[in-house]
Amino acid sequence: MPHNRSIVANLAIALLATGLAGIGFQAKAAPHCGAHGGTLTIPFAPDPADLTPGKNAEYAPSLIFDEIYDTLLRRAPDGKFEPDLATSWEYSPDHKTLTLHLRQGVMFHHGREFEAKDVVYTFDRLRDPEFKSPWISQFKSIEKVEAVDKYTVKFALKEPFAPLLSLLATPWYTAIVPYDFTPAHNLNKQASGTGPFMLVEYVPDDHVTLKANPHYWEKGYPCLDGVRFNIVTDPQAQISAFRQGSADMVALEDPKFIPILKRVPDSSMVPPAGPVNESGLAMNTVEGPTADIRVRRALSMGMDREAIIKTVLFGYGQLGTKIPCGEAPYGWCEGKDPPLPYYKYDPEAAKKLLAEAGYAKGLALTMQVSLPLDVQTAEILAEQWKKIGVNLSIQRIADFNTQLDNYIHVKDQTSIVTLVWQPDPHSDVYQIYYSTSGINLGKFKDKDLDALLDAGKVETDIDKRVQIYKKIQTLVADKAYMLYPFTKPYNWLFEKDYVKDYKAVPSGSYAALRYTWLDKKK
Amino acid sequence: MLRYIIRRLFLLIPVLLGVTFLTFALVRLIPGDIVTRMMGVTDANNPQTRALVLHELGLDRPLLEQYVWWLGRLLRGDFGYSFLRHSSVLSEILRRFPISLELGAFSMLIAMLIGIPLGVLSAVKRGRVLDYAARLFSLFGISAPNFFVGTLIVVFGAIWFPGITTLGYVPFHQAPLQNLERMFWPALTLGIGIGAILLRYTRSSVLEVLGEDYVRTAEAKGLSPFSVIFVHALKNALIPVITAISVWTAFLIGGTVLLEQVFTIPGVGRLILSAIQDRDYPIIQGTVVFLSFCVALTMLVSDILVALVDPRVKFT
Repeated sequence: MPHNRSIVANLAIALLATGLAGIGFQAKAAPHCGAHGGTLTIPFAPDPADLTPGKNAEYAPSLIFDEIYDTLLRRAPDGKFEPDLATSWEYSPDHKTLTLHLRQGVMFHHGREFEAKDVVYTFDRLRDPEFKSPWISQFKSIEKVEAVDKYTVKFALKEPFAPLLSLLATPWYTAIVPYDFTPAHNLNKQASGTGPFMLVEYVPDDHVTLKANPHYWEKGYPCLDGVRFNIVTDPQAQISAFRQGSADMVALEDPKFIPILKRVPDSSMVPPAGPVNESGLAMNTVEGPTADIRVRRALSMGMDREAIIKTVLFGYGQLGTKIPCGEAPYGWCEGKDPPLPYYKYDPEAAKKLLAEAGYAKGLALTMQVSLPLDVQTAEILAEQWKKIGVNLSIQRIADFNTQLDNYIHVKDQTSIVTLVWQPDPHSDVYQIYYSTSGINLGKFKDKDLDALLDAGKVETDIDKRVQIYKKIQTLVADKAYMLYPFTKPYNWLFEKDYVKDYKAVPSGSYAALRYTWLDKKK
Repeated sequence: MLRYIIRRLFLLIPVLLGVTFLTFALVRLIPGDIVTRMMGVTDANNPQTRALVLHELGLDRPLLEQYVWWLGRLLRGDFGYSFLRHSSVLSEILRRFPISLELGAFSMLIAMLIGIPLGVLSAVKRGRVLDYAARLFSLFGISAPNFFVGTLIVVFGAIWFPGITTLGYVPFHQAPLQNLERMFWPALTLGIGIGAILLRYTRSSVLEVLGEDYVRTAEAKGLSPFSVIFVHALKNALIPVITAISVWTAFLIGGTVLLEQVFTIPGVGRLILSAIQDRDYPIIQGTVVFLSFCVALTMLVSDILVALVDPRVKFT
């Protein structure tokens, strides 16, 4: 990748340079703020509890600290990468070294300039077993991160590691934190990043308030004075807040609320981003009836995915796969990609397969579910599977964490959970399918699958890599290792008419808030 | 009386010990733990990291040792540190307790304003339309769960009266009027439920007293009905009502959990709920012990109050 690195000592020139570099990128989002000022309020769930980057696997908190911290790269909607704190980057010919050139003159909220040492600190911290980051194994391929000079940083890799750029563009994984501030501060009380907004206060179970960073490196942004996330866990209450005018935007993960929200006056739906969350049905593939591939294929054919999408998602979803269409360019897209095997609803063929497997008289299965959408899916599945002679008893687990635990250690039961967006197909599928992975969700042991997963991890040619992940999805569907009833966007957003230039992105990130402005006289 | 109070305070010790033991045991019976909450569905959710995290949080030690250690710290006023929130348990409780207390007090005020006058009216107009109306209301108040009534207020309030804000919390010292406006709805919801109960107590108690000889004497003396009811009858009729009020005050201390969730009020109730979801043991344990202590104290104070009001009650 070409780069033009200029060593600029003079801070003023450096600032000018960053300003210029910024304009090219901003043009894609919004030409300029239509107005400055105002605070935008969004109801938020659940309570983030911990705003320390890299510390928790929970996704929601990262949507908030995403505003406070930057990453080295950004992800464009087509899956390509764009500069953020790094202005350019290049791989060595053997793909075992990644060199990044950092933006100059970027200031942390506590007043120091961002430099290569901060990047080194961020990654050393994530890779330190004592810090106990959930991402530690994702960074196993990194040998060393070092500062070449103040504005250049080098990642030395043990092997080519294709997901790296993707991880560098994901705040959930790699938000850049300052080396001199982070160790000594409680990041729930005080925070310092380079992002467009600065933490004012986090009052647990009540609100997180952010104010505009006056020294933000994209000159002229953010347009807003601040953002307020009100912690409102009940979706009905979120909608009421939106209706009452105490929220300017509202984001809901359950599409049953869409018709209600469509009736709220002076507001509209933000065009949703591509689907990224898939509902995944795990089965034990080595013990019990589901060890038989015929049983699993029968279950797949006995599942009327279209009907599930129509009833559970009110039609606001797509056919499910492990890597959904929103994860461009790797995702499987309905209508664009060739149909997946055993996806066509065919109860007669399913019955025949079950009879072949010795279950002509019927088969009893148990399924664990906890989240509302998954419960509904299970209830409809129970009806559908009755037609092929499968008697499904549903076990409702009181909370999601417990179900996850059971899910990871899937025993004789089947289990449905909604799986969240992941930054790269590798992080999405490797841990779940790889035979030696600790969270292998179906006790899978498949040499072909392992080989494809290994290839996807190191293949740096995008086109070849896309083919690998398409093959993986076909293989998983063919062997019916896991069943995916549907995929859906991370959430559906509604905004008041005076909210301008907000765009939804597949990850559900509120990153576009930096370009958002309010068209109302106060 | 002092001896009575001291004896009651000593009796608190075994009660609170029981509470600590029960909470400690119960939170550990909830399946799942903090490690899954922190590590999610990732490779890091493996035995090594699990052991590391459990060791750091002291959860790898024998249960009895953990309990004694926690109890020892508790006796010194140290409620411990949250697993997840980077803050001490006591600071979290103390920041939220006044909010729940305000909600509780406001609810009780509304309950008394509804329950006592309606109860008296219902008794005096016994068998008349007003009596039936009041009793119907009380039936509704008692049988409709408060989170249901609360949800109705939140959902339909927003549709029918979009100008009124029913949700969220504003600190009193920042904007007193807004604070009261928002606290009013959850307080009303709770107040209706408890008011309905107080109405029943008041009604039956006033009815009983109205049949007493001394009331008949007062009537025979030719006193006005107002004076008979409010000066003579009510004084005695209120004694069981006061007991009911104190019992329900104690209930309100821990009873606002669901309503805080419905109306998004950041009180102690929401703290418990989110701590349970996170398996944040120190917060759950600390909050339950703190609330139990408050409930026990409220009961003691109410017993003393009843004795002061009713000369027939003696401290023994």
